[in-house]
Amino acid sequence: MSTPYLTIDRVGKRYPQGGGVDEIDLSIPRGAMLVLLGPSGSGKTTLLRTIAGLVPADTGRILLGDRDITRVPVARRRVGMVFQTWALFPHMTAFDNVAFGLRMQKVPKAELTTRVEEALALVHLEDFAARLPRQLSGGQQQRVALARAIVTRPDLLLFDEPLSSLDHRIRLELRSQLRQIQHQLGLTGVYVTHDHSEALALGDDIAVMDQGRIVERGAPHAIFTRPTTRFTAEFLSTGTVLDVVSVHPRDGQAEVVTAAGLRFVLPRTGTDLEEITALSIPSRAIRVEPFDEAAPAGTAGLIEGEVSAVEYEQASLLCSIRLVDHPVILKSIQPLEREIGLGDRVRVWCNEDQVLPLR
Amino acid sequence: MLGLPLVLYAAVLFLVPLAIVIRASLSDPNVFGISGLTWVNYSNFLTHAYYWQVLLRTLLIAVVSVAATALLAVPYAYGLARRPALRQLQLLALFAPLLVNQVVRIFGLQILINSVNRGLGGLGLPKLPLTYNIAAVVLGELIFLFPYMAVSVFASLSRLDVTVEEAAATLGAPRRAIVWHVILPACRPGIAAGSVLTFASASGAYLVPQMMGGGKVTTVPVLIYNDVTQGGTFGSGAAAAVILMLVVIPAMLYSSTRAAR
Amino acid sequence: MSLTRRVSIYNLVAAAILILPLLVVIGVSVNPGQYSVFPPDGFSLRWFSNAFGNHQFLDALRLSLEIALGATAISLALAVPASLSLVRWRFRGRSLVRVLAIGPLAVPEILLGLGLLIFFTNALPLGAGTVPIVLGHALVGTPIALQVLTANLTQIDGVLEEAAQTLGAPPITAFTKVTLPLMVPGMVGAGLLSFIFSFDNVNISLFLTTPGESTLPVQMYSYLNYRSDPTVAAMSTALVLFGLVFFVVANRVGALRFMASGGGR
Repeated sequence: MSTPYLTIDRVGKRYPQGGGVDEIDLSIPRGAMLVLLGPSGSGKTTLLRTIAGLVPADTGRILLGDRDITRVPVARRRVGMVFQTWALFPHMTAFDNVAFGLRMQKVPKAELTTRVEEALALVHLEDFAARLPRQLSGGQQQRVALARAIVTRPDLLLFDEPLSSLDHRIRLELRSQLRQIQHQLGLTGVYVTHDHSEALALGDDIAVMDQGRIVERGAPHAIFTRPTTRFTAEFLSTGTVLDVVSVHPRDGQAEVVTAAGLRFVLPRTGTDLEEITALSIPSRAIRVEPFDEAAPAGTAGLIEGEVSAVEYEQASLLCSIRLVDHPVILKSIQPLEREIGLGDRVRVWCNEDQVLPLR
Repeated sequence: MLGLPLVLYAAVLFLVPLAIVIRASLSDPNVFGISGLTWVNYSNFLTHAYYWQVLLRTLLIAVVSVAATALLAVPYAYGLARRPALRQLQLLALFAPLLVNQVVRIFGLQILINSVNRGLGGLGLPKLPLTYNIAAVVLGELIFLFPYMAVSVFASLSRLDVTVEEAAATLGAPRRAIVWHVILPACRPGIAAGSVLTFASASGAYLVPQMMGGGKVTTVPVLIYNDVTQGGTFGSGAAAAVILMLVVIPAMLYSSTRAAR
Repeated sequence: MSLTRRVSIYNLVAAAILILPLLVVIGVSVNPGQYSVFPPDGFSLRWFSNAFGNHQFLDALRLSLEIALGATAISLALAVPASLSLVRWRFRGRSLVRVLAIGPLAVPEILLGLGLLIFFTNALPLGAGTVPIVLGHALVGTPIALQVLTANLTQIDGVLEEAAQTLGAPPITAFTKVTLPLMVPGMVGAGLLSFIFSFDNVNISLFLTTPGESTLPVQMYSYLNYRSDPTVAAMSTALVLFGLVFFVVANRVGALRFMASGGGR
């Protein structure tokens, strides 16, 4: 891991009316984008506002580069922030909005004009400089907000669900533009969202938050393919989560009994056996076979079930299969062209190598 | 604290004068200025049938004026919110009267009534009974209070999304039910706030009863004003003012707590 | 779509009735005869020259303008900071500020007039006159202004100032560069309504006017008690035209919206 650039050291902030964050430790290297992912009320926005200085931290320190900015007022933190509601100044044109930060720094006029124009060009809004915010579409307003946040070359960029109030298509478009600009300029950022796909697309590093704490941290791919906590697995809905009743070590493996009566044999890796409270059965680990009367019943690993729901995802089918002998509905990803209908009797088989123990 | 100057100002020029009125109401009515400590002003007011009549007349005028204003202003506010063509004209009608003082507006209204009556007389028809009586005072109040009520109701109606009415219609509600269950409840805070404002205004008005009543319709404010300006003593006028306040303010508090709900 | 679907006939009739007394006054003002009659018998501007040649009216007009300006200045000076504290901060005694602020609006004006008269003639050695009138008008002008300003301010998102701070503006600069300019329509609306309230006020002024120093409405009232020629109508017509300019200006800066949502008085 490269040297940390932003370090959050045991930061805590509690609101009198409830909510906030506790004992947060985080660090990211220069040029990386950290995504704070979690449901509403998980404390992600509080943490972001603490980093911005809009909310004073009760405890802990925030270091940016070699500066301790914990007590530095917002205006002197050299952070840029993009707000959920964009927060464009309604009485200023796009140009003046973007120029605001530079004017605060008393940048000479000629340089200011060049830099504002560059920033607007970067977000493809060079022709809209003279428009007022209310004369721009939502996506355009959000791009002005982005230009405004980056034109001052801040040490750190903060994003508070900046795309959540936009249409799906524009959201995707802006997301990739944002990623591209961030790489191009080598910006370090912290990005708050509750949207998994946004986290996957934008994050170099994801911290999953729940109830004011970070429950899991890692690279996007790892978090999505191998969540280690029950909260993450359920929040990201990567598969079926089953409660564990008991764990029995056997020959370097572990037999895990779930509350529904299903048993799984796992290689003894990863989480300590004592810590296992649940299993995640990834949707891709469930194979679905047509029900064949001729097949010998009770064949090892093959369990009888019935298709109870079929949902169309972008490139696949997500099937829910209600097991006949257990009170469990397993999720399975199937190719889009596969013919599976509601009510079909099937046999399912689970690839136990992919089953994940959860804390 | 930024609200402090306002608090101090209101305390000195609002609360202190109110307290002084109460003090003055207890002073000897036979002595110039404020002196002595006596209930005589109150007993005087409360034992004379004449004063009771004046008080009841004042309240009657205020209640009828406010009710009539609400009845007429609610449909206007609704029309302004939902059928906004010629909006500038509709707003102008509410704000333009504010540009001219009450003296002139009442003057105009009286001339208008005279013209109409002359026209009716010319046609051999009976005249409108609107000269120098209670009905004329109520009409004057109505014209004067209407804009306040309409604006107040409009403010609360403009928060009602038109789709709520449409939703009610798709649920099978007839027009009358929509008015009763959707539109009127949405108007209620505005009606309540407007009633507080207009009731305070109507019950405390001097000019309208004096001019529209032609000196023949005595209300508590007329009584107070004549007492204070002609007598030079404050006692009986202050007592009348306190009694008016004791009747009016509970009514308004009731109305504003209803508005809060 | 026909016009009647877009505007209710009832509203047009009501609007006409509301405006009618003003039109009558304008009609009367050009009447050549000695009496105030409508419709006018002819056309003459003699009553205009009579009104503007009358020193009592001119003095009263000047005094009313001075009083209205003074009352408006005080109202804004008190209401602008108070509206900020009411909308932006939660603090102990917030409801006390609100009640004290709105109180004068909810009390019959006759009571305010009487209270101020006794206060200034008996409790203070000041006596009635211009200064007490200004202070009395401001007492009602302040809550009027406060309502309009509050309506305006609640529509200005507090996050704008936060955005300005993240862009390097210290809190005070963030306020003056962002929130303050956005408060202008509200301040114009609030100022106009306080001004109009004071300029038109009769009920408070009647108590506090001293002989020889009348405000315009009081002057008109006493004039009409003795004579009913169209002089008052002519003066008023001039003021209506003057007032219409106000209306257009208020509409132009977008203040009308907040005047309506503020309730006004």
